[in-house]
Amino acid sequence: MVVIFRVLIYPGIGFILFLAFTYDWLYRKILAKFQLRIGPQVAGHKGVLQSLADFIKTSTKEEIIPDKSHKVIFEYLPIFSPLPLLLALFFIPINSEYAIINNQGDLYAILFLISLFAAIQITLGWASGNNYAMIGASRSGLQLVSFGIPLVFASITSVMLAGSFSFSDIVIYQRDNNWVIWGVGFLAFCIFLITSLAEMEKVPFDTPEAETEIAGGWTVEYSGRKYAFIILSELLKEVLMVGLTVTLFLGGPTGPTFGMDGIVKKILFTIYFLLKSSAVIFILSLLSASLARLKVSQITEGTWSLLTPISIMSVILIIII
Amino acid sequence: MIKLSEKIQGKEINIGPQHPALKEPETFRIVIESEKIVDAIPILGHTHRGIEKLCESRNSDQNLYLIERICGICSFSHQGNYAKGVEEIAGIEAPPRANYIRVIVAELERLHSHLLWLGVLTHEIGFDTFYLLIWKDRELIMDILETITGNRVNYGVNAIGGVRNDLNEMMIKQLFSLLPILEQRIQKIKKIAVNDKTIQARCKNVGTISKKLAEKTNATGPTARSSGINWDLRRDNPYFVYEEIKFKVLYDTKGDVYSKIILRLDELFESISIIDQALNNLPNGPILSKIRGKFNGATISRIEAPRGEDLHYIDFRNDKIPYRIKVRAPTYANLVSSMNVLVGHHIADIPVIVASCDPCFSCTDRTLVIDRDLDKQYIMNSNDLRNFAIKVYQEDEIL
Repeated sequence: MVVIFRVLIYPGIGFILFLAFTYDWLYRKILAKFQLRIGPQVAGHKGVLQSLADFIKTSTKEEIIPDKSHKVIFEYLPIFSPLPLLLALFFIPINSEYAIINNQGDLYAILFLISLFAAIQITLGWASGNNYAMIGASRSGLQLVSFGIPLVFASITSVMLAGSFSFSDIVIYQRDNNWVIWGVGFLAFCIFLITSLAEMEKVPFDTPEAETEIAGGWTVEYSGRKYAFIILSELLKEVLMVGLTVTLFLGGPTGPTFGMDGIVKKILFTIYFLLKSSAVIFILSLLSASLARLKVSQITEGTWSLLTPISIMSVILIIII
Repeated sequence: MIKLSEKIQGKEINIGPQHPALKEPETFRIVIESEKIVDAIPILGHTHRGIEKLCESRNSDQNLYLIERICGICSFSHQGNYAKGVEEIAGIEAPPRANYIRVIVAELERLHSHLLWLGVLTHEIGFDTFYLLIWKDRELIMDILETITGNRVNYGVNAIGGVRNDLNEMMIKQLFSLLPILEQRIQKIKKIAVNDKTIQARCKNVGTISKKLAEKTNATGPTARSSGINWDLRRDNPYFVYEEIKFKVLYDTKGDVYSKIILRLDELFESISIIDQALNNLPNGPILSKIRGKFNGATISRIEAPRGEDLHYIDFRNDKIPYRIKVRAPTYANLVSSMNVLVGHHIADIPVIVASCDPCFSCTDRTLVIDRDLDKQYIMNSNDLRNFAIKVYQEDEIL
């Protein structure tokens, strides 16, 4: 019974979906503040239900299947697209030091699932049979290749400090010592934030979707329920990247417990998690608001000639220290 | 006839007629090889509204308000140009106070048009924060235009023989107090544009139009000036009262999109100085010299609109109603040069380069024949045109 509750409701699927819609609202609201706008304000208190409303509204819209598309993939793959990310989120500790799934190879699994989602993106783009979508898919693949190495090296930093690939061990290490961000891990934290932006396909790395260039990229042909699932998977990706940043660099959900234990401790930990992720979302939206979209050639050049060497250097730095 | 060259291989994508990057319907048929552009063909004519033909059924005063609706952004330029042309035909001159008011509104229009353009451009490169920042400052100008003329766009300020609205003390005071604020805001915008690395990364050395190309393709306005052509109708063929006002004509030699940003922002400071001088020298007197009756004669009237040279051919044949009106909006002249530099750039550069000439497709779309074979020149009479249209629709090549 407890396991089912943990998987389905808290901190499982239900709570993760809540996080997905709330984080997106928060991101949009902060971005709107930077851009002198109001942001979502109609659905719920100050528009907090806007992302959920968007999801529901989109899923009731008409679905159009283009003639040139690969029918089977086009029809069914979007429904499965949130699954790898949902699974990956089970590895993130939210209300205690231990996540729903925890074993010795957490980071491997997460990196695999992120790449799997990128593969799904590329397949979805290819299956819609549209030139814009093809370009978007190829850009998506290019970003996967470009940002893969910095992502791995940035997350390796925490692993090396904690001496374990398990997120629980990393969180416990940070609880007992300093957070990874204070000290040698700061460089890795910055690299990880930049790669998160790229993984989340936000400005300046939103080339796979680039609205003003390729009109939505790999998502261009999807409509109705299929598009709603694609939106959901993007929201989940946002939660995943924010959750990973918190887990790897900001001590996970840990914080002062005031000698409490049991449910109170779990609630406190959840609040700490939410606070830390809000801070990360604030930084991400600030970055996104203050930059223009880069070209694909500039992104690949930047990652290979700048980001990758720096990330390798930061790893070497940690080995020396 | 529009055809892709047979040698070119590659994927073909259509930017437009409906595309998020374009604010108005227009098709750009782009042939790409992975991310590189190999060929680009603009297909104009999606928003042909028949304004020229409509003009032939209305009298000279009614046409003022029809011609104004050619463009929402440079509405004053079109209307002022038409009024200037009819005044030339009638042989009258607008009173000095009217001309000063025209200069003030024209420069305010230039201010808001250039800021709008920069906003659109920054939106195209994905820098939405800057875009909203610019458009917020643009509202100041829109508000003052509303105070002066009664409308935010389509001011309807011109009449044949002068202007419709006078400036009162309150308006002049408001304008005077606005100018330093505007100058400060534009300084701020320029500071961001000069310092921001991502804007430079996207706009420097992109869409470089050489002086030779600009001359060959008859580019006008800021597009031509950024390529090193030192030409401004306000100085070189003065109209209204521009000859009495001191201002510099700015030009650059680089010709890329970034130089256009800086050039347009610098032009705004000149515009502010022009408005300041016009307000200081504003003479007293009537604002409208009345003219009634039939006109006879034809003229080509030109004006320096925010986007470039706006040209109207106006022909009256002893009638209240014009016999023929032909409009050549600046975008038609500028788009050709932009299209010529697209080849060799990346897909990501398309919206930037297209937007760099400040396109206004709805202004541009009139009846036109595109003949890519430049050596062959011929005149089409109405029968030829009809046959051509039937042939095109039968072959279904464009549609």
